[in-house]
Amino acid sequence: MNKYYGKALASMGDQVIEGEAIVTSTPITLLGFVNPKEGIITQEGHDLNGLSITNKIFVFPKGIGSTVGPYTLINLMKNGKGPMAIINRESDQGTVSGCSVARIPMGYGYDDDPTKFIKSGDNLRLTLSHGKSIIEILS
Amino acid sequence: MELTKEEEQILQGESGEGPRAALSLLIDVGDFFEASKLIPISSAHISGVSYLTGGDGLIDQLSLFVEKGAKVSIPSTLNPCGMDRVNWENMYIDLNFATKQFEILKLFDELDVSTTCSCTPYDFGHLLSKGQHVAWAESSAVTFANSFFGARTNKEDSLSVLAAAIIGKTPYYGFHLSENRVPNVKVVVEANLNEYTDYSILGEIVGKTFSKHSFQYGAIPYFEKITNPRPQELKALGAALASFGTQLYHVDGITPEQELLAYAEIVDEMVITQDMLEKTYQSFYPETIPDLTVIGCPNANLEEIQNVAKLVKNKKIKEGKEFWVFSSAAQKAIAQSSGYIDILQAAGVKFYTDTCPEVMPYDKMRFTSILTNSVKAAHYIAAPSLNDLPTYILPLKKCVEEFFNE
Repeated sequence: MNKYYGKALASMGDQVIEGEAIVTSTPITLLGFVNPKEGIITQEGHDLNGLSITNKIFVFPKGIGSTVGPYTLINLMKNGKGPMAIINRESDQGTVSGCSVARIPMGYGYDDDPTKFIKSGDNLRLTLSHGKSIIEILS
Repeated sequence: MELTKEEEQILQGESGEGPRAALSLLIDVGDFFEASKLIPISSAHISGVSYLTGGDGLIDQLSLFVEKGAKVSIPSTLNPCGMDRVNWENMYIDLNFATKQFEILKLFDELDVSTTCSCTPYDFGHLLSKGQHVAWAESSAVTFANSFFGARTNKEDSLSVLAAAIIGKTPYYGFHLSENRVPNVKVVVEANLNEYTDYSILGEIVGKTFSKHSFQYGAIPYFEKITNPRPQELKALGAALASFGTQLYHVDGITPEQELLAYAEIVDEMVITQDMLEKTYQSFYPETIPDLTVIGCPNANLEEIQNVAKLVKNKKIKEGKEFWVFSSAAQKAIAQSSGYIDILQAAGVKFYTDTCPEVMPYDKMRFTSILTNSVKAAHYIAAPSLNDLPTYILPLKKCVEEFFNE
């Protein structure tokens, strides 16, 4: 089985997460286009429009848009509609801050593009340890 | 990232849980950007104030810091909240929203943040100097700080900026380093820019065109042939560009970092023609004229308020229409002393402070579409998880023509 090595937020410590992936190669606008009460992407024309990220491992290149975006991640978690983990290609400050404060396990900094080597519906294992992360595609 | 002895101690919890949590977040962000260290900053501007955008998560987060006894350690100003603190009922805001909003403002006050809410703190004393390191959030304010003042800030997010204000430091990366501030795209403006909205539309065209590139810190345009812009016009340009990820731009002969232009690494360029400007205006032209016009995204400065006053003087708002101007309580006080507020009131204009056209909740039974003079406002008012209202753009003069009788 292929293993993909990347980074993780140091503050998240050590943990292992397993779950189903939902993947897009289009950036996510957290404020305004993700519904924090329902965990659904609400952006017309986006390939995930209308789909839920709740309890999935949410794989996207980076977050864009307002500096208030991180509160969308906090509100998703507060409402029990958050993703199980986040995997980013390049990521961005808002997603990093949001994950750090909302305690969402997050991986980034892989040599290959996770929005390509992971497909929606794949069953993943994300292992976080000391600021490093490993992605394994289980099935 | 290398930590000082003092920072290590904060991380061990020796200064309490508030600073420890704040520093932990700064380290996550610093590591992510491969910053070598944290650097001291002289001020912060904090976003994430409206209950509309921050929700209950914002109240939880601020309460945590307040309970842990945290305070900001540097001068810190606050972005617009979701309503006028005094006249919220006139904005058709419901009591539940107002209660939550007052709770948020009280929490910021307890953190020692100045609660004169506005996205343009530079219009009432929060000034910056060239080369000064700061931590500002709010994309239009970040772009103004970097471009107009030549100060140095990354686009902090609402959480990292709060942490930076508490610790008084920010990770040293991105726009804090000269090498990341050189232009990467060039724009020659052959069109005539006559007023505020022309600059906003220019930002829309340029931002959209260069959004196909994936620059690490966004497109950094270098504009040629812009002459004698007013501060609010540069603010409008930056705010529109910022909705596409730009955090810094330079204008030949105008902005303070002219010495960087010699190092430009231009990977794409474009010419702006009158025709392009007009076509983009058309794409925002209202199908039918809405019942509400909102002016003040970003918050209006004294000159903009004066411009509205000049246009509506001795006129009266049309039946069934509303015309709202947004700014800080500070600008309102100055405009009052200049006599502009009386002129606006006589014409039926409503002047709201502490908030802005984007972060307030509209009464959708009353308003089904919105008219504005700002590209940024149009983008965000229409966002599905914010107000989800169709929003159109006309220059101020035309907005007034549609909404007022002689």
